[in-house]
Amino acid sequence: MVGDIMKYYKIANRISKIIGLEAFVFASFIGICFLINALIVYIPEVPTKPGINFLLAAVKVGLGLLFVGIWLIIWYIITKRLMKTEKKTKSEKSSAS
Amino acid sequence: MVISIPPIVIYIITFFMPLILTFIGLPFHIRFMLKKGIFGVDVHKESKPKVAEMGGVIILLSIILTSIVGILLVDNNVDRLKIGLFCITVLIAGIIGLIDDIIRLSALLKPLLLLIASVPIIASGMFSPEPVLPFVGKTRLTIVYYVLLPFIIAVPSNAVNMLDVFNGSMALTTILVLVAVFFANMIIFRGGIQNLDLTYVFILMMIATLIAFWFFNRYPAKVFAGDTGSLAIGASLGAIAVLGQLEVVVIIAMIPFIMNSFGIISSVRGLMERREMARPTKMTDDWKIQATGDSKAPITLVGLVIQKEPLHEKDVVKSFSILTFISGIFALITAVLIWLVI
Repeated sequence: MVGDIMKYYKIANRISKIIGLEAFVFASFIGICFLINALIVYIPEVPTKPGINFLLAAVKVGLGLLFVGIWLIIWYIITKRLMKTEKKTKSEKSSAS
Repeated sequence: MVISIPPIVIYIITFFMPLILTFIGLPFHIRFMLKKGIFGVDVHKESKPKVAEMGGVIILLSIILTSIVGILLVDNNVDRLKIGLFCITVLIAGIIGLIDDIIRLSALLKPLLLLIASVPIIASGMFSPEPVLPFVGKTRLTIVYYVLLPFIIAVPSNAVNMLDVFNGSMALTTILVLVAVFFANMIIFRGGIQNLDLTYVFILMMIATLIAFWFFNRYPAKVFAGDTGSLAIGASLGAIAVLGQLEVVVIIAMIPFIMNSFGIISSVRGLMERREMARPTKMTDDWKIQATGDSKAPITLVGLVIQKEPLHEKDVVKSFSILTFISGIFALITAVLIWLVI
C-alpha cells in the first residue's frame, strides 16, 4: 500500500510539468469565466430594438469565442514549448554522457 | 395502481445489473472472439499476445438492458424518455464504433457520423440551453447551444477513443471522470440520493459497467474495448453532460482527454487516422514505452508523459490516472464555483 503510494508520488513528480499545464488549462478557463462576467454581461440588452439586440448578442458570443480562441492558442504554444524543452533537456543529457 | 419504487432501489439495480452483466458477458465474448479469430495483437508486450477485440459490444448490451429495466422501474414518462434518450445516444455512438471496428471509417467520416448521435436529444428538446458557468451563472445560449450540442456528444466520444491506447487506460480514467461528475452533481444541485435523479442513474450505470470491463482490460489485457466501446463510453459522458446540465463540469473533469485530443489535432493540423500518423512512441529493449522523437509525430499525452525517460505501460496508465484525478478535483472546484452563483 505504502509502496503503491510512493510509486504514484514518484510518477507525479515525473509529470509535474504536465500537471502544471493541466492547472494552467483549468485556471485560464476560470479566468475566462471571470472576464466574461466582468466584461460581456455588462453589454446591455435592447428588447425594444430586435435588430440591435441581435447584434449585441452576436458581439457577446463573438467576444466569448475570441477569449476561447486566445486560450487555445496559448495552450498550444505552451504544449509545443513543453515538448521542445523536454527534447532539449534530453539531448543535453545524452551529449553530456 | 402505480407502484412507486424507492430511488435507492433503482440506484442499486442500475449499479449492480450492468456490473454483473458485463462481468458474466465478457468471458464468453473473449472466448467467442478468439475462436472466430477476431483479435488484436498487444504490441506493447514482448510475447505479443492475442487480445479479443470489440469488448465494447458487451458494454453496449449491458447499458441497453439496464436502460430497459430502468425505463420499467421509473414512474413517469419524462424520466422514461430521458433514460431512452441516454440509451439511444450511447447506442448510436456504439454502432458507429462497431462499423469502424469492422470496415474502418475515415478520420473525417467518424466524427461527422458521431454528430448524428445527438439528434435524438435535439429532437426531444429534453435539455436546457442554459449551461451554468462559474462567476457568470446561467447563460442563455439558445441558438448557439443547438449548434454546440452535436459537438458536446461527438467531442468526448472522440476524445475517449483517442486515449484508449493502453491496457486499462480508458476504463480507469473514465471511472475517475464519472466519480468526479457524481460528486459535482451532488454539490451543484444539492441533491442527495434520497430523491431520484437520473444523472446518478446514468453515472452509476456507467461506473459499474466500466469497473467490470476494467477487470478484463487492465494490464495484461484480455479484451480491448474497440471503437465500439470507447465511442459509446465517450458519448455517454456527453449525454450525461447535456441531460444533467453538467456541461462545464464534464469538460473540466475531461481535461487530460482534451489535452490529448487537442495536442493531436493541433499538431497534425486536422483529423487523421492513427495509422496515417507518424508513430509518437516505440518500445525499448526492456519493453518500456519511449518517444520516437519524430518531429512529424503528433503531440500526445503519452508523448508528454514519456518525454523525460521511457516508462512501463503500467506507469503510463498510472500517469494518466494521476492527471485525471487532478482534473477531477478541478471539476469539484468548478462545481463549488457554480453552486455559488445558482
